[in-house]
Amino acid sequence: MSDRLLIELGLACNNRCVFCAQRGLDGASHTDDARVRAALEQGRAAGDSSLAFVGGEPTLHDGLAGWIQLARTLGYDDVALQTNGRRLAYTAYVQELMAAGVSLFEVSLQGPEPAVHDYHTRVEGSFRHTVKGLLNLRDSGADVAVTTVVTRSNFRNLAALADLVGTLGAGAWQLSTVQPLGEAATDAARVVPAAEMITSAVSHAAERARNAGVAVVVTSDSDVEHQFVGMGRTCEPLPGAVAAV
Amino acid sequence: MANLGYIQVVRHCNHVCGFCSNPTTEYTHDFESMKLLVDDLVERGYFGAILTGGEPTLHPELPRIAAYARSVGLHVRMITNGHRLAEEDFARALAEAGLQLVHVSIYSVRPDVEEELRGRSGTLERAYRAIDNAHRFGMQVNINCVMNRQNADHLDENIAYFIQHHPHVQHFVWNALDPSMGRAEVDPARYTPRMAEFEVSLSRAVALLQAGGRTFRVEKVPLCYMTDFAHASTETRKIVKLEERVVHFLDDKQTVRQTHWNRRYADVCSQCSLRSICPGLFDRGDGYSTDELHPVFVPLEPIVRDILFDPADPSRRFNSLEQWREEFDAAGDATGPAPAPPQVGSVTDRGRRLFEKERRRGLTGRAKPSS
Repeated sequence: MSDRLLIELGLACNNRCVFCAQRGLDGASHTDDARVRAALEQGRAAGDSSLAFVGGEPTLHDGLAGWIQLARTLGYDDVALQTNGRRLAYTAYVQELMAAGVSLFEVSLQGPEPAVHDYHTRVEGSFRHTVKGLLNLRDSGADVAVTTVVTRSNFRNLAALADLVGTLGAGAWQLSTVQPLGEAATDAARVVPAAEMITSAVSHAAERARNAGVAVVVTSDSDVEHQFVGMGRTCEPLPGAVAAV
Repeated sequence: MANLGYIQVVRHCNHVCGFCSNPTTEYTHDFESMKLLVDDLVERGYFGAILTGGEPTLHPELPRIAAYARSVGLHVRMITNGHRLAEEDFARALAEAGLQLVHVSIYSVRPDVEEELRGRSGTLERAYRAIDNAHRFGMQVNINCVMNRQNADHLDENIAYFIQHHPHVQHFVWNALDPSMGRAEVDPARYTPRMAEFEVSLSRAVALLQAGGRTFRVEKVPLCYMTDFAHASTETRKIVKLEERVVHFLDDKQTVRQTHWNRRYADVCSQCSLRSICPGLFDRGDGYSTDELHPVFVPLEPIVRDILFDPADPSRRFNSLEQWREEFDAAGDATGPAPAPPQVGSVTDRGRRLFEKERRRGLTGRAKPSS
């Protein structure tokens, strides 16, 4: 399995997640078209064939579909999009991104019901948007992986979330621990659970999801890549995400 | 209702615990003044009296007031460090006087940790003798344990020891350290834990008790740190059952009737599914931080059912969840608003010097550190 190129589109986001590793980091809220095009071309020249657009929240950038299309034109085989999925609630936008050439949507979902998810995103109504986005992806036949950060406040809800992930048609589910980076470190006492407290719940939920045909990846502090640190950094793609769908 | 009243019969003590929340005052009781307090509990229709301190066994008329409380129909209990209860004759005398239940306070089964916390050498063996004496003379025995920074990582080790060596003990009570009512203010870094420090070992300890069919209560812990056994929160049980308690302090507070809990919460607690039955953060100062609190999203009703319909609870009052919901909603929010930061800091320079002197005197011939 090869590394993939991360194309970071700036720190701007329309959620304010309690575990966000980017809050408080220095960096531009947006990027410009020339910089993204240059990064795509440099990646190809260096032999990259797989990439992911990440943020902040990439879908806030109106140039996203064009950059995806450019990546495909340049010859990238796999183009993933890491997103909170809220803008995917618009059916036409999903169709635009799929037509541009997204091969995998990696959508973050933090709980099986509005109270749990919206607490984590700190945006009321975000659960409804994201689930609508996931339903749109399912109806469009897109390849989807759901990503969840395991916190003190959602580990008891993971079994129900496993069921929802299966229902929403995701092929893979990544569960990861909180990275106490940036401003997220400030809220570590409120957010980060002890490993022993969550082990059983994570195992149970993972088994439940696998039984529903969802590939599951669990990453912890020790093995997860510190993503979101800048354009051009490479990291592992979600193992099994493509194969499972 | 199974309301219990607390009577502080003395405020002095023969141990010098570094986090004592009720240290010595200049006040004393005689039998007549204690009798008034017992009568007060009877008039309130209370189920029982808990004789406490300081160290209540240091009061010369403890057997007499225990006998009186029993004679007027109260269930009579005592919280003790066990030092005097280790004497067989004294234990027999209390049992014959009518004492029915003793809470023996043991913080750690590691001798060096126990000595450090109590400021006295050799206390652990006496406490073990106390719990066996109490059992021998027919008194029910509970173990009380204040969770603090030094025992936070081995609460389960304590329970494993009691199950193996004192299997007659069937009920355990943990209290989160009170960080702002006494000596803990002197050295909070030494004694006051973050709640995450005891969370894991408390969960392991509870699992041991549940596997062995034993019972327990946890006090002064917000439900986000005991979500999986929220039904065992002493305060939550009182909130759910619309109960109160009276404490007859032997200090300037005198008699305090608690019907609202006036604890501290974080803003995010408003999103928690257990907020209406959670006692929040027990802290009158800055010992704990609301930054440690977090919402959980679990069903409330199973917890309420466990409390209301507990077959071991003598105070069963509600016939259905619907009846409870109606009365609970009508009673209003018993958890109360966040209080203004109250005045704390009753530790004087003189008191601090006396405390250090007593601890130096008491810690002779100490146990070797646990590995």
